[in-house]
Amino acid sequence: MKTFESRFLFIFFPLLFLILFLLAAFNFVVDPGDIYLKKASLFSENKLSIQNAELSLFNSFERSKVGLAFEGNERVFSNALAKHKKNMDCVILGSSRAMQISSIRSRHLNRLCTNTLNLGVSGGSLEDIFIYVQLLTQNNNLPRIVFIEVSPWTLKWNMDIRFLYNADILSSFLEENRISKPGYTVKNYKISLLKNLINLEYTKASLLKLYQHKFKLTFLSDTAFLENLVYSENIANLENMILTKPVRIKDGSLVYQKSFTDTNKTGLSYNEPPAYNLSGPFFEDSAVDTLSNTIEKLGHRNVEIYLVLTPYHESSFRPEHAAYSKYLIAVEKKTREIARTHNIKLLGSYSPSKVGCRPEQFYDFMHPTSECVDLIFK
Amino acid sequence: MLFNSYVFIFLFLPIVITVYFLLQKKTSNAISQSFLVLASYFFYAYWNPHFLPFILISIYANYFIGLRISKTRSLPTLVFGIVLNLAPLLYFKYTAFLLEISNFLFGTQFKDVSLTLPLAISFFTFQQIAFLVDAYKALTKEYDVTSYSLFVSFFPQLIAGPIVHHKQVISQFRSLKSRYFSKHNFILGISYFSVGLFKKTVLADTLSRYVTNGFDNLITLDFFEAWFASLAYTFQLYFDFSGYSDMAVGLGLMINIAIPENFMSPYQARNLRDFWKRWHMTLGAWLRDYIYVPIGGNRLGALRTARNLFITFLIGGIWHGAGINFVIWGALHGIGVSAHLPLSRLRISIPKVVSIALTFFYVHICWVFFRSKSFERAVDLVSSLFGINGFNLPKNVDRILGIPHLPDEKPWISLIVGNESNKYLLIYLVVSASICFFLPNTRAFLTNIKNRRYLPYFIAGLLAIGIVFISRESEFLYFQF
Repeated sequence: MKTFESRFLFIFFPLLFLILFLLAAFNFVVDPGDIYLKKASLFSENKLSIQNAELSLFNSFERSKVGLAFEGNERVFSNALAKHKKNMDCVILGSSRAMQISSIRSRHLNRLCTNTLNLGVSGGSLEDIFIYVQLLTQNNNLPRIVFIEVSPWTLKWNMDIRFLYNADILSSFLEENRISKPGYTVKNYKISLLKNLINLEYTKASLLKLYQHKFKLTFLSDTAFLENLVYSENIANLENMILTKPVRIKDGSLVYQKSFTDTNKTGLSYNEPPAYNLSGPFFEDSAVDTLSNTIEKLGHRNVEIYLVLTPYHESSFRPEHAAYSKYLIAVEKKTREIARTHNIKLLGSYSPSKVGCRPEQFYDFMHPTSECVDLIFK
Repeated sequence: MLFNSYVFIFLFLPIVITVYFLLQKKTSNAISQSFLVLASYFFYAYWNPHFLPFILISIYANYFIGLRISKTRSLPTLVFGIVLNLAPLLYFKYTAFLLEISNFLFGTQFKDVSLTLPLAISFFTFQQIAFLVDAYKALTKEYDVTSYSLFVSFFPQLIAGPIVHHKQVISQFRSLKSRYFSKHNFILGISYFSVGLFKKTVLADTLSRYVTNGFDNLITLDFFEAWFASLAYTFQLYFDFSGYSDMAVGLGLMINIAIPENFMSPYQARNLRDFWKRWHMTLGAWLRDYIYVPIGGNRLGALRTARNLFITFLIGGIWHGAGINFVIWGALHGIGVSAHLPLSRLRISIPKVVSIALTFFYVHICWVFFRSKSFERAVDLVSSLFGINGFNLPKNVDRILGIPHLPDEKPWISLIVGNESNKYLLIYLVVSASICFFLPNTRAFLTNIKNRRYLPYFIAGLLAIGIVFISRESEFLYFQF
């Protein structure tokens, strides 16, 4: 007969690992953020691959009148647009702080561009800019004008790990441009992917996705359901509608869902110190050099470059946040220097007063609304 | 390294336990102890390696001073040792506070200095001062440099206690009993750890969102908001710190080392003295043995006893942090405990429920000073607790009572009950209160485990949930002390 101790250990460890394994398997398969797309081979019966899933996504996007509700991996969406969208004359590259730049919603941007594509992504960093330059180049999709949104962390390497979803494309960019890899944290990314499989928030998102999709499994978020989620309403009303999901509209820019804008309208997040990604040196010379070379090369291919600075909320410049606002001041100065050196235009500023944005024209301390960013192009 | 991190749970801990018992089996106790010391240094340095030399110097300096004191019984050497321990603590922890006081009292113009506090300095300083004092009193037993290093740096208790006394652990490190893997101890240890992790990641970290909103983000709270925020903190602190202590005890048990308990259902205390016998028990014992008793204890009459208690708690408050709020927190507890002495002699019979409620209310008010960022903020919040800053019924209560909403309804109230992401605070508070007031503490729960056939299922479930809730890997509140 087993002792209590032997019985405990016999049950405890297998049960613990079974629970964690089942949870990880559940998140891996449901995958609400579309970050485990390499499991495509598991879906062999559907003959789905990342490439044709992207194409399917793009086709749905094209068929929509206004845009698509999409909560999956933004980089999948931006990749699909960068590869398949044709005939745009302007492209916007950058972070979530640039995702509101919109020729459709703008009164001023369309003086420069008639057909704009916004390829901004959440957590967008320097590497994402190179990734989308590479994708556009490889697909012969380079536009007449590229707006590069420079956030205070853009002039450094490795300030986020989300770009590693596109690590292969970045590698080809670096190889073609003979730039040595600045110590990418691919290992860390893989560990993050593993950790994410037993993450509480990811599990919640998996459950929600499964519930919303009536317990049907899909390979890529929403691809099986896109037709139902295509918005046919008038685009002018979109921002006033009660959206339950963020919508990528036809120019690639993002209209946030109501729960996001409501939470931020409480004003709580305005009081946060603007600490996000502001640490270490203001910029790295090798990062600035690589960006400069890319600007030069795009120039040789007759692409006009604009550097864009989108504002921070005025609270970020309060004296108690000086430890962070010094980054905004230093990076803005450096960006102006880069623009001068390459004789290219710089639009906007981190300072809301210089752009003319009012305090209520922000979702939080670092995300301006489309109304605010439009003033940059005035 | 944090206990509530994947790297600790899935890498550090399994590797350390496996290698430790392998070394015990294949080599000597000295080698396996040395391995534990190295593992503890790695654990300490993982977060911020810059302070590793500091703790190393502190450990080895104290070891040699302790040896000298044991041999010579030299009072000047003891004083030198105590000053040597207190000087860095004063410098790192209290410089800014002292300069602020100087500017306020004497009109000096010292600028703000912000020094990074070496991790766990308050804890290992107290442990080592106790060791030196006991060496002077010839109370230290046989020890060597490895067991002394392990006594200070033992990773389960290094960062945030419990504050262990040398006589509690050094003999265990050298004992034969600790050399063999014990299934019983391991099961107890993993059970303690699972309960602690659940308290930390599921309860404390969830409550912390509401606490931050209430204490840091809003300007003035009304009655309900103040009660929600302060109760959330009262329970958050308990689950955070007692969760950490449970994990520490559990980790010790896995390696056959019994670390003293630190909490014993403190919110079930019937008076403040009782509370301090149940809350942060190892700090209470340290303050009693090395402050209260040496300054006179209860030997010199009621008035002197009250004074000694007040001084002890004041020092306890200052130990917790450099700031006027910590001084006030310590003073309030000092006054409360001192006042309990004459009151207890009146032998007034108070029903248990009332005495527990009164004690909890007093402790809860004191926590407002402990948590608030400034004295003014604390006073404002306490005023709100007494309704001085107004009442504003939560939206759902309005609805139940049929009262129309006020047009200027405060956003935070709607966050508590009306907003999707925050509407569970009331449920969390009720669950937290039920756990604190009605459930047995971890030690009571884990006695006679052999009668509990459901235990492996329950503990596996608890640990799995605790691991899933880790996502944020937040620091423990007591790391700053």
